[in-house]
Amino acid sequence: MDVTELLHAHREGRPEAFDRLLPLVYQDLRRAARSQRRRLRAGDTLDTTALVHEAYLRLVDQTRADWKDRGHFMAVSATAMRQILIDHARERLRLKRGGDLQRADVDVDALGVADDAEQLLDLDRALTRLAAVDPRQVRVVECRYFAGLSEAETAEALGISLRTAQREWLKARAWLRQALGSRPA
Amino acid sequence: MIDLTRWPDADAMIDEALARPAGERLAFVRQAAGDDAALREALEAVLAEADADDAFLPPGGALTGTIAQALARAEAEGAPAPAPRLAEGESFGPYVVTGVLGAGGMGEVYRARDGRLGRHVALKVLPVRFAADPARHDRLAQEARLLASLSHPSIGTIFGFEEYDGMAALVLELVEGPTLAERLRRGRLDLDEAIDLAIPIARALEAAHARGVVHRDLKPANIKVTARGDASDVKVLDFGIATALADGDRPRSSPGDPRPPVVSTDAASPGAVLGTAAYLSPERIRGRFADHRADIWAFGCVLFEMLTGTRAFDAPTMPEVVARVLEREPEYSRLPVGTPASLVRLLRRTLRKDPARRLGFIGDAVLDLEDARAELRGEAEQEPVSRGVKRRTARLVAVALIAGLAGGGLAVWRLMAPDPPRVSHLAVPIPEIDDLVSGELPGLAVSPDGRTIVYRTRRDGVIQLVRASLDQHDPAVLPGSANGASPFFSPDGQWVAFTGDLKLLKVPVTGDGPPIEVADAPGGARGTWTDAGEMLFSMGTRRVLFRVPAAGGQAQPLTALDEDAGDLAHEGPVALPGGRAALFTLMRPDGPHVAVVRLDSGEVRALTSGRDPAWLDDGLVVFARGDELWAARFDAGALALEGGAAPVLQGLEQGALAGTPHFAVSPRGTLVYMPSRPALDRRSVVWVARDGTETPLAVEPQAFTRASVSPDGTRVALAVASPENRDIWVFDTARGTLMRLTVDPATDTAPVWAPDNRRVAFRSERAGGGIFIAPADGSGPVERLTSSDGPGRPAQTPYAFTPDGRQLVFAELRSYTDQGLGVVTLDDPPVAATLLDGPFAEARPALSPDGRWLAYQSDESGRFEIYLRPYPSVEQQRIQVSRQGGSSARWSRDGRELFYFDGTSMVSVPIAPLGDDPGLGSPVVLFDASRYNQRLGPVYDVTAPPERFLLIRDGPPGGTPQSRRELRLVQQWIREVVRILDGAS
Repeated sequence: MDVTELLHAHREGRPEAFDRLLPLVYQDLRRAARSQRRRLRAGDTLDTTALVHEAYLRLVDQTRADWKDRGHFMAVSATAMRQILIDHARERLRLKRGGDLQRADVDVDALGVADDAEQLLDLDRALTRLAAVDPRQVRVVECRYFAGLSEAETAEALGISLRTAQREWLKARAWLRQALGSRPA
Repeated sequence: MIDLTRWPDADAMIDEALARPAGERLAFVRQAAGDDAALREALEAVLAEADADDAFLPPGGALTGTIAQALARAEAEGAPAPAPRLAEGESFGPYVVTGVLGAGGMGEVYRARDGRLGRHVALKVLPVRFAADPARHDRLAQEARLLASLSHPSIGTIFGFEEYDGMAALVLELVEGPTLAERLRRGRLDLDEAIDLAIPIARALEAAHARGVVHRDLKPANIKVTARGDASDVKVLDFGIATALADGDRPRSSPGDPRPPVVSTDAASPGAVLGTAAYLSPERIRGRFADHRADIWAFGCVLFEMLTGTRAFDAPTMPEVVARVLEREPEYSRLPVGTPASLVRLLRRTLRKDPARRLGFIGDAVLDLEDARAELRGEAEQEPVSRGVKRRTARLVAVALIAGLAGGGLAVWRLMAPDPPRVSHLAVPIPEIDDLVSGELPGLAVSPDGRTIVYRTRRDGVIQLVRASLDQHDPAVLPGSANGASPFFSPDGQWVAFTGDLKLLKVPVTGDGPPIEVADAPGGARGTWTDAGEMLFSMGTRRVLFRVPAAGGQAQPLTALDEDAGDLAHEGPVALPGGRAALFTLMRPDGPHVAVVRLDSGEVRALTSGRDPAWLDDGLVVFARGDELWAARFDAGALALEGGAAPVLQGLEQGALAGTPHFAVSPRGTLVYMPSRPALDRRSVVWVARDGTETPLAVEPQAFTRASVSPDGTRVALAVASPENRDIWVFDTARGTLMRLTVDPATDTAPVWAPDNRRVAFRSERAGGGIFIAPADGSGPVERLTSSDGPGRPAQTPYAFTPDGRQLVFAELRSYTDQGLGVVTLDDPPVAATLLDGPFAEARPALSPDGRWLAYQSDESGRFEIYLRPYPSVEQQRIQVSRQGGSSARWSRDGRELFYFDGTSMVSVPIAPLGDDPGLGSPVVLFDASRYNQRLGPVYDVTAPPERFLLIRDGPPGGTPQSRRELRLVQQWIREVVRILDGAS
């Protein structure tokens, strides 16, 4: 089954399709991100719009695609994007500390001091723990926080009701706020 | 921790509560939870999130941080085209809608009448999200202003960006007539007509590229065919709009800004996507760096389509289109009979897959098209010589104008008028005998009139200062400037001052006369020459600013460190006009700050973060942040910045250890800088003798990242990167054969030979990651030595075996903020342990041949220096080896020398005798290793005596020309700075 067929299967409620899609999307996004990153200069960041969009173009047969496929693709990309962002954050910190010294393409000296790499990694670890409690909430966070989907799109992408998408988002936020030691303002 | 799964009814309670007015929710859950305090608390926490309006986890937040660009919300791209928001007769500010022209994912386009100016315009009303986000909105408005400055008869003008009633729209020139896409549906164009249309398209691109604007979405649907008299003419629409809309989240910084590519932003229908992808260059499809040459590719596609009536890369489905763009040549056989050879050549040059080999300047296409037209009319070239000159001149000017954008050609500082009316990005010709030096000492100066520059170069093996002038042919060495640095001009431009190791000196700019001593400056000086005939400078050995009469004399301190404020040092003063104050770099624990000092009182004030400030007339301050130049307005009366700072140039070369940026400006606005070198895929592995003589290793240039020679010297292990993978190869020096050692799809890198000459250890990301070891001839299995599965998933990189091969010392990123050293003992199973775990970054360990001493680099002093510790009892003693910065220590095979990189050169420190207390000799510079610099110093290997260093360098082996750094000069740069600041304010 190719990506387009897997997307259709996913839309038809076959959960295993997601698991088969993820590595395909991740690998493709990761490769694109890596080749983009190798050309980044200090301070630049990944252009996720382009990455996801290009992946969609590359992987999905447009002549067979339904417009809804884009939402599903975004859901898979959301999970993939989380992994990619986390890898990227880890990489930045490693470079910032002078690690991985033989990787010469990145301007180590000029990597920013203040960035959200640490927070992202903290969040990632918290999400990993949340997955043990409620994996669906993790997916909601990925869609909303890592892919910027709206409540409605998140509901559509995950095949849940809008109300559930809203509720699970609040639950996940509350859990993560405690896990990350952050109090409401 | 909130865990609502224990309560089956919790979700229903939340839903119930959320259905109530916000004020009643708490009371409801308290009642619903009854006396179950845990449930009540959990529910309250969840409901609090409904009202929490703070920075915690905003939707899409991961994409707006520094780790990622904002991801455009998918709504518009996946949704069907929205219904028009404006009806005929409705108003949008002063504009009255007179018709609908089209609708798509990026908004609707209306025909409208501008009531104020009485003209008809096209309104591109953008999706709501553009108006809703103020930051995005502001940047889009800024981008639109820049695009509006683009004025060319063949470019559809962008009048501006306006917002009324919560709707945002681009106001565009209304161009009547069919699009080229519509025209092409009727079939191909005649040769004549195709050429006649192609020329103005190329000219439009040329004009835009010269202004640093790239179209990014050139295709027949964006080209209008209009009539001009009897002839056809064109207007290219939507210049730069794809960039503006897709990339509205990032401030524009410079004309050469290499933005990441964005595939079609108009993805309302599969057809539209397909229509865009067919014109995307291979580098854009691959998501790589794409610049104006992507436009040149698209131009070739359009030209091909005009000539043949079919797309250059056409297929029924997206993957097939993409595959064709990436892998196939267009079917040139479709070109009509009689197509002039020059046209075919032009097509081939515009449609080369590799942008580096593609036609670099669209202005060349105009010449080719004119040739083709002449060929078609049977006009043989009458004056091939003058023609050639014309072509060459046109090309050189094009090079000059576009140099900042293309990162391309050298040339032509001299070709241009000395004071051009507009911003000109030029490459400064550097003679073959010069090898520009970067490193940590400043090496550039530009005279007040912008006509003379001084650069620091290695000439005849000696670092010297060289003066290059518009008025003179050969750049000449300044007398007495051997080992000099930090040049600066006198206000009248007649003198150049610079520093040696111990003195601040000045010399006539003409070079007529010996250098004159101005002041003692132990450790070197960085200074400035005031209007009042004084020099202000900082010294290498002192940490405050000094002043001295320019005629010479005893230097007096000007500033004092404010220890309470955490001042570490005051450096690099630059006089402000009027002699009242100077800018300088204030080093504090949180990094460098741009600061100002009053010359009458010595009073110091920090202005903003950044370093190496410089002054431009018209009240501007420029300074460096990382590899970027930033600018801000400066109130010389109040000695304070006005408004915010904005980035104005990217890509400065920086010193590898402390990040010294290499640039200089004249007050009237000429900028000279050393551009950072682009990432190169082609590197060479070379043997370098102690005297610096290079001998290439006989392997094809590739993206080598590390090279390690076997102890017996017969084989070299190479880490090779490709966009797809990183693997290790083994080169047999006797047989000249290259064998791939690792084939795993995961990254394998950083090979290190075991003392037995038989095995290679390396870092791999396979199976969770860690250090692995394999027989060098591939004859046995790969075995794991360490695992990166520990807390924080440390990345471990092998460096040094003990002489018995029983232990391997490695560098490790142990937590997210700390790097240290570890050691693995090769027992069965292997046992890994921490070796050094200080609060600083310890890296690149090297073990002495007797295994008793560990050399490594640490940044505990604020920069990397080389240290020694006894091994394995590393806690017993610590000896600092380098004092002026050092990285990448390696031992000689006899243990009598320690080599390291000092930021510029390879250095040897004699060590004798190796015992309980190694005696360190004075460091001796061996050779300039800056060309092997891999940002924090080269990773290299050393053979047995006579020592040869195995190093990786950019570009092919051999002569310096390929590796030479270059200088860029921007005339009238001040205008660009002002324009960007105006746009940003």
